[in-house]
Amino acid sequence: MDAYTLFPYWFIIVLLIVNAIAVGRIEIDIEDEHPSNEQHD
Amino acid sequence: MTEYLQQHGSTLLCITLYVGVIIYLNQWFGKIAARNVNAYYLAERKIPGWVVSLAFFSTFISTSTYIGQAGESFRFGFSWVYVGLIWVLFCIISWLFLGPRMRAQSVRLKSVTVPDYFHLRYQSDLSRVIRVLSSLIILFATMWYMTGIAKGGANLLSVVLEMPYWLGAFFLIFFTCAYTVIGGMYGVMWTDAVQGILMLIVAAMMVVIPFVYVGGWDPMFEKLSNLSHPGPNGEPLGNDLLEFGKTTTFAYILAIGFSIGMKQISDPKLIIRFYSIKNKKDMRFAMIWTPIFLGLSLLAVMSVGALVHTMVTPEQAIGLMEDSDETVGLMFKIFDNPLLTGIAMMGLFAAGMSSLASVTLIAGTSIVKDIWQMWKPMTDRATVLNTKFSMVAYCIVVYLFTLDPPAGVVEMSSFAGSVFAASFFPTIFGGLYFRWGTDLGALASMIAGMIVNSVWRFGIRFSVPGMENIHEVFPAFAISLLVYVIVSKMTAKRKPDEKHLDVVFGK
Repeated sequence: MDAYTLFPYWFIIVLLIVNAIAVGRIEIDIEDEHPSNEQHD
Repeated sequence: MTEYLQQHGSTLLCITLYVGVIIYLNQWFGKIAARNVNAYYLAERKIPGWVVSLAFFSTFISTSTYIGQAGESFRFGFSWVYVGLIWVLFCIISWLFLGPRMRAQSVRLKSVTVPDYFHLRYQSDLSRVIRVLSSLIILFATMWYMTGIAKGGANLLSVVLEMPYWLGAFFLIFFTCAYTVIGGMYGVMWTDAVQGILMLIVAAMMVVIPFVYVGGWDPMFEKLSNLSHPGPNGEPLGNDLLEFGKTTTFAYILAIGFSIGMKQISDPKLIIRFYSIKNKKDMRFAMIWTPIFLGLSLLAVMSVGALVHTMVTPEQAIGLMEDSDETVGLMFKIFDNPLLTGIAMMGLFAAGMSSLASVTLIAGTSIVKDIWQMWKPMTDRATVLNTKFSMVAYCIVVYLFTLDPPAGVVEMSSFAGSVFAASFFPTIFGGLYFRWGTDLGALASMIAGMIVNSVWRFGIRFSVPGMENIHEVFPAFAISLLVYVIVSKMTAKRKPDEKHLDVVFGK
């Protein structure tokens, strides 16, 4: 298998690790408490 | 009959077991879902992160992937894994940039469907039109998508269980329809999660089978580096499957990668997953784990077709080059292990049904909440009941299309993805991030996306020489995005008032 064909195999793994680290550090801006599910139109 | 049962008994048993579990789950959740519209449409925003994560994965990945994409690597070799890489990139983008904002804004606006998000976010005299138009686009694109999935599943049933195509399609569509009608979003989410676990197991199994069949790693790559099977151009493949771009073009990889991958940032059946997530902690879990579930399964699935070359005769290879959708079915037939075939069938059904169920629910909610109710307001009870009837009616139409599908599994799925990406992404992203986005910008970009998609696919791509590899998603997406920005800037006075925008953006 040449280097170009191998590239996505290892790059996907690297991406997943980087994403996990990044998401662990960012601030997520959503309300924790349960919203009332009242309708509005 | 006895001979048939001897041959297919284990597979039938596994399928029966699978069907039983799904019915039980949906009956259980059906009682909760029937309470009101929010329970039926959104599962009351009470779904844990791991369930949403598996549900997003199993909804995005479908039979089209496990049958169609796995089969495509039979023709295009290991280069096809690049498509998986592009999909993982879009999954990460979707969860990072759309997930938290969509959840937050949908709560502030009390939105329960994607079209009603457009209505409430762009608030103007035109927002009802945007809502109805986006629902019609959903119904149009969904038809292609569901037909693709049902075709993939019915093909599989006809190869593995020797079931007539029409019967396989009937079973797949109407069983899924029945459990979706019963369970609503609660049932769909939890069933999707169970199906997601099964799909992860089957992805691992699919990639291991060819290695077991040929006797390990070394014999596998020895065979793959010297294949006598004819390739797409009729010449013997040799080691072409191991070399990048020898049997396909990068343009085609980009086309399928983008057109299907971009569904994750625009397809309502996936975007609606963000609505139901329980809290911040669960959102973080799903943001990390959804790309992991997707990435690991795609590494396996996108390689399967190429590996199957080592299991088939040159005559069978010629047939599979013509119709690669049958690759996975044939692999299980050749491996001839009834128990594994049974488990795989459960996983492949799960892949198809999890996507079909989510789209069926989206079609039903669009018909009732976003079209019908625009003219005739109705009570909660009537809304849920009419949604159920609409889903059944929509499935009947899908079934009729499936009997004579207009294209291959991958092509139908990618066309639907392209329609969503071009018609919805600018309106969703602009709605979430740009205070200056206007109703006319949203409406014009949707119309432009739809028109360019259709004209390019039906008038240019297959009629003008040299255009075949330029997928409709590229011109349609670029033009739609441009139209959103230009028209919004030109109609700046039409943006909603600051008070409303403060509610939307939480300031």
